[in-house]
Amino acid sequence: MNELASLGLILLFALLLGHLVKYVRVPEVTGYIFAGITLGPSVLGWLSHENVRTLSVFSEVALGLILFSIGSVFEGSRVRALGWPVLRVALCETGIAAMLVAGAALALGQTWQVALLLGAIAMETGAASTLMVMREYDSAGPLTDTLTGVIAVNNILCLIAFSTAATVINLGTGVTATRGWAGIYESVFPLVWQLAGSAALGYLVGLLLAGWASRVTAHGEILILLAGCVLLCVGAAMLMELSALVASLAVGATMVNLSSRSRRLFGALGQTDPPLYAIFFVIAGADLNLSLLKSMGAVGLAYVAARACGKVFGARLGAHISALPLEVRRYLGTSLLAHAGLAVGLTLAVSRRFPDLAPAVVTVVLSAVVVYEIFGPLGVRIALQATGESGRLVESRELNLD
Amino acid sequence: VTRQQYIGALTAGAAAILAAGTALKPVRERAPQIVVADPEMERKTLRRSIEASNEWFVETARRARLRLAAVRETGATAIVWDSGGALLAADRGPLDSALHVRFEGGATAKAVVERSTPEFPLMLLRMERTQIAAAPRAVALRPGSSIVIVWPSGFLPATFGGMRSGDCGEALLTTVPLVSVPPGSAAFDLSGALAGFAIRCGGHTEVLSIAWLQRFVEAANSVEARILGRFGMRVRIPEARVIEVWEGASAGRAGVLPGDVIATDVQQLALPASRVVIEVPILRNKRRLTVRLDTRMMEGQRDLAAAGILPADRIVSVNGQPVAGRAEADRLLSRVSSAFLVVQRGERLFGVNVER
Repeated sequence: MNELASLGLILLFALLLGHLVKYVRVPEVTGYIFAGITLGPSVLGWLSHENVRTLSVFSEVALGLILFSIGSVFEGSRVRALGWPVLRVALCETGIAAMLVAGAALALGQTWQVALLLGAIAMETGAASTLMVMREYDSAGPLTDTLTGVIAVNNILCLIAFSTAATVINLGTGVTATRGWAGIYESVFPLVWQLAGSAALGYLVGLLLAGWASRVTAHGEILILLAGCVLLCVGAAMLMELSALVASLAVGATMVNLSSRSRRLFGALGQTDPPLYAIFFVIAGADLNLSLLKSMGAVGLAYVAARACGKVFGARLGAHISALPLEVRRYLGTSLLAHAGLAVGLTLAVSRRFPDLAPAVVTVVLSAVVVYEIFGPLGVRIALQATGESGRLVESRELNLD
Repeated sequence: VTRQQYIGALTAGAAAILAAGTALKPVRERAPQIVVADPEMERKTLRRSIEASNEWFVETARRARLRLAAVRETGATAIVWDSGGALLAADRGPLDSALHVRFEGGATAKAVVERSTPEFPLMLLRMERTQIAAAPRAVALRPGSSIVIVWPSGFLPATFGGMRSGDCGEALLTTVPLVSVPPGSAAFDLSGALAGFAIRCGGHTEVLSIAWLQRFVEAANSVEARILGRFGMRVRIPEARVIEVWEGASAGRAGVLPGDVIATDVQQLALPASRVVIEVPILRNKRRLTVRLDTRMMEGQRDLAAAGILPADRIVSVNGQPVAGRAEADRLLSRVSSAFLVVQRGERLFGVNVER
């Protein structure tokens, strides 16, 4: 099937299953992922691996836009109000999830290197699917604010932990021993470069966006500017071997702090991006290999269980320490379960940097992603509805209008 | 610090980070490739390479044979020379005589001898039907090129080593002996282009170069060449004076001598004759004579030519018996089935076996 027909099918199936899942009170995102699984090689095979590879450029753009949206949580006033509590919660939930997963892997006979990598990757929470569920349910309130902030910090912490783990493995397995300081430098450089370089790139692109946005008034022009900047950022990050995720976050953060028109810009984005997000989640679903569930094994099951426990109890502990409201303490962990995006990207990094460790790590992570991408968005919906934050954004908009 | 200064400092810092990071990025060294010696693998690879080469030679020979034809009357092999229906055959034959050729695929055609000379066992035939096979492209080889020499029942792969001056003209120097190569074989390069054509010359086989063959063919229609080929006498055209007569050829047997002047239209001698023997008036020391010239090539000439003896060569002895001239040698040769001849070519004496 050619790419245009594939895109048409993706959008129509996304619409169809997005509607169907609403009858069973499941988030649209889960419907999109099911549409991808149905169209993909695991079921109907109408979308081949080649189609998915060709269309992955849409995924990159969509992920860039999603992270750009999340970057808006770093608005100065918001950081001052929520900064420390969010950081404490993120540290607790990522730290405990990582320790439990690594411990379970060691207990099941995995090497310390595999355990370290699994622990680092388990820290991640799928930003895209979580944010999409929040948008679908027009949520607003303490849980939504905390959740958005935690996801942003969580992804950065995951990236730092993974880069540190990779450096430790390099140092510990003697790769650097034979190359001396040059080996240590080669191991540490990616850690610094991925964070500082990506933030610097995102800042520069965000500066360009903020400066130009003040001179652009028409809705269409705003979208062109935004799309151009996000594409430039993602493309440049890939070219310079930086993290597109951190760079996109930095673009959003810069924009929200430097431009007075940022709300208008984020609003314009929200009205235009649904088809792109639908494509992103359908492709993510088509890329899920259901046959991996069979080969998940005890380590895979332990990963799923340990990560879920770590996220739920870690978030609860962090929220308790930060004295966040009771609803947030109860439901924040449930809404942090989604697992994809960066985790999948890190499995590719494992395959490239540690080919001998890749089989053990990649199978476990990808099979867990299948489980979490199906049930993760459901957890977010349950949390939003239980706290009563679902639909509050519409109410507040109506109040503002009145 | 104003907001602008703050933003400016941040921008400079970000640009500096990107510039420094790009400059300091460690260069990934490519892992050295380890060559593993595996005699069995090498043997298999070599075998596959040889098999592939052999398949190529077989295919080239198969294609080349489509352009080879057999002359029914003499059994000689010919190759399609141009798209106008010309064939080059490794044999001699009477000029303008009609012959029949048969191609590999079974197609037959009538052909007329357009150029033949006692100098070389080569003749140019012209087919009446020209759509039988396309002519191969000619090529000038570079030393070291692979070639394949093809004949109707076999082929011989070889390497071209350069050009050499052979007994019959410019010939290909090959890395393999041409003992088994029959006359009429054609040499092709790797792309299937024609590189040479084999004839029997001086008792051995030579693969003549395309350039030399082209010169031979270009002379096909000159009056001098046709008269020389037909009667064995070289005539200088404007004054119609005979400047060379080959012993044993038609003119020599008829008593034509160098210095005689043809007292008729010389062009007529080059045209196909309706009779076997034609009467030609000549002037010798202001006396008018008539000579009878035979238009046929004699059998004895064919045998001597096949042994590499040129019409201008002087036969010194036949089986150890000294002979006075070509006529006496022909008489002695007609009595035996094989003979050893001592031949004088210019200053050089050499021996040659003649099979009849």
